[in-house]
Amino acid sequence: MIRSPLAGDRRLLPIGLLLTAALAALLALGVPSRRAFSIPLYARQTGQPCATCHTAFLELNPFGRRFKLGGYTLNGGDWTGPPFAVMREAPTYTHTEAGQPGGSAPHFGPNNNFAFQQVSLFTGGRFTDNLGAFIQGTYDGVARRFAWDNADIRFAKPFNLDGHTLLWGITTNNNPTVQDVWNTIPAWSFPYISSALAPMPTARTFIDQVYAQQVAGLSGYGFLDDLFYFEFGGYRPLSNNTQKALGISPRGQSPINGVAPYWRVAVEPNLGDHSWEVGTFGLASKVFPIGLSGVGTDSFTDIGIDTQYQYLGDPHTITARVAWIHENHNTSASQTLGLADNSNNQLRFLNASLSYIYDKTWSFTGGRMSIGGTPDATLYGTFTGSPNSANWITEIAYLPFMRGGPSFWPWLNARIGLQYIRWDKFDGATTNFNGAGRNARANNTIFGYLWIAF
Amino acid sequence: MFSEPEHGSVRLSRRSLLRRAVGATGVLAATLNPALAQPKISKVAVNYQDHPDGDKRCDKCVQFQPPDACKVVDGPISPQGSCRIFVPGRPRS
Repeated sequence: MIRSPLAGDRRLLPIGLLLTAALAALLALGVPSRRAFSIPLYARQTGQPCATCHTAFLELNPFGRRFKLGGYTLNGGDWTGPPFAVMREAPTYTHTEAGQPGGSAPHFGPNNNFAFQQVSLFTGGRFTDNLGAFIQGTYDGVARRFAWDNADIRFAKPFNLDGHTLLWGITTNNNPTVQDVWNTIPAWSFPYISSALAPMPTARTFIDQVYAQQVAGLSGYGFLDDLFYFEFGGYRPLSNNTQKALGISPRGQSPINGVAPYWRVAVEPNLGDHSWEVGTFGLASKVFPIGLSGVGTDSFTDIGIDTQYQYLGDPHTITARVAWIHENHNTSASQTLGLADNSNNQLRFLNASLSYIYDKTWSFTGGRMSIGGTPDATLYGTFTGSPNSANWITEIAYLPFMRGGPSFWPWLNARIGLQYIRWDKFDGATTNFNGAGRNARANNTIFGYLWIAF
Repeated sequence: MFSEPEHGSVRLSRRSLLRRAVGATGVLAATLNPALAQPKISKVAVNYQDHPDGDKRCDKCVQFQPPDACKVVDGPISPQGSCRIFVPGRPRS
């Protein structure tokens, strides 16, 4: 996964610091800039700079959204080399207001941790005029293992129908919402990078990355008149052996029973420098609680609504994003198994953020996240029993190569950022949320990162 | 007694996943027709204008294809036009 990345290895730190120093020196020396190129695999394919598809990496603009819906097939570049790219999130630095007793993760101390968070290898791009892919494999520096990551293989084809243009396609992917093109839905929403060593709330909705890399999905979509988007498909779980072969541990999963339908409908009018989207999405399924059958299944229905506005001026860019998800979770099987107190629970999730980007180079973002719902101490396993958490997040990022990388490798892309998260409530309480006297603000986090792709 | 559903027919095994992927690819390949255009980007998505934007003109962009086309944007393109994704460079003929 690109977001919610995983973590670090101190043995690799010296290498990471050396590369960071080299990059800093390179920036300080003012190496002449040429045309910049975005996710380098696609930049080389299209001959376009990062800023063609992204407002600020990795958020997509209208061009980037259509490149993806078109199956990653658009040409334009003269690159004839192999279709690969590398991305690394390292080094990162994580500081919490109070240390985390016992260490923030195995092999890490309670606080002030540097990490080699992750490195990913990408392949894909254009296979034919109408078939392309986004395929990612990731080495997780905290778990110290390699696994497959996001994958999206799609076929897309445009045709004219009685004066209307329909771009239709089929996508097969491994993570509900990874195929989406707006930065409001869980797989690609802000924050685009998070510390793997900072505390995270216990509760999350099922559509929010719970089934990432554990499922195989197939859906068909259409984009009518460059305005209306509709998609319908479904997901099935991968077998335990398949997941293990791909580097995923199936332990503790609550697999889908049968097929989980997924849907997405959106409208995106574009007028001059303004692009506005409003839509809905969702996922529903029966599930075996922690993989156990024999007492029936739980079920959930996640329904989301979202909107995104972009002002795409030069040099000023603004993006506003809001997504709200309601989850109805029938936990009757879990209750029978003693895994839940209630037979039914609800969750409500809000993610809202606003970014200002200057000259494709400086990005300033502020956001609010909250999750809340029915208390269930057994289901969530929290001291308070409540799933409620809320934070404010701010981030400043510098993207020196959106318009052009250094002359020796014009496809280099970099994002150097500093993020601050302030928790108002964590796992159900403002004070003493864990029964050991820890307050929500103890989890306030400063996260610095260097994120590069080439 | 409870058991993991893994051993049922519910979850996709590597073999069935591979078989389905090959089948789907075959279906897709059967529908491929290289003569049909690949998806390009609409003019509205790049805010295309029929007039220059300062020094930015389509005939000065690396993606311009004389006399009136673009490698990445759909439809006829004016050499004097401009759009949001202008990349300076000598056009290739």
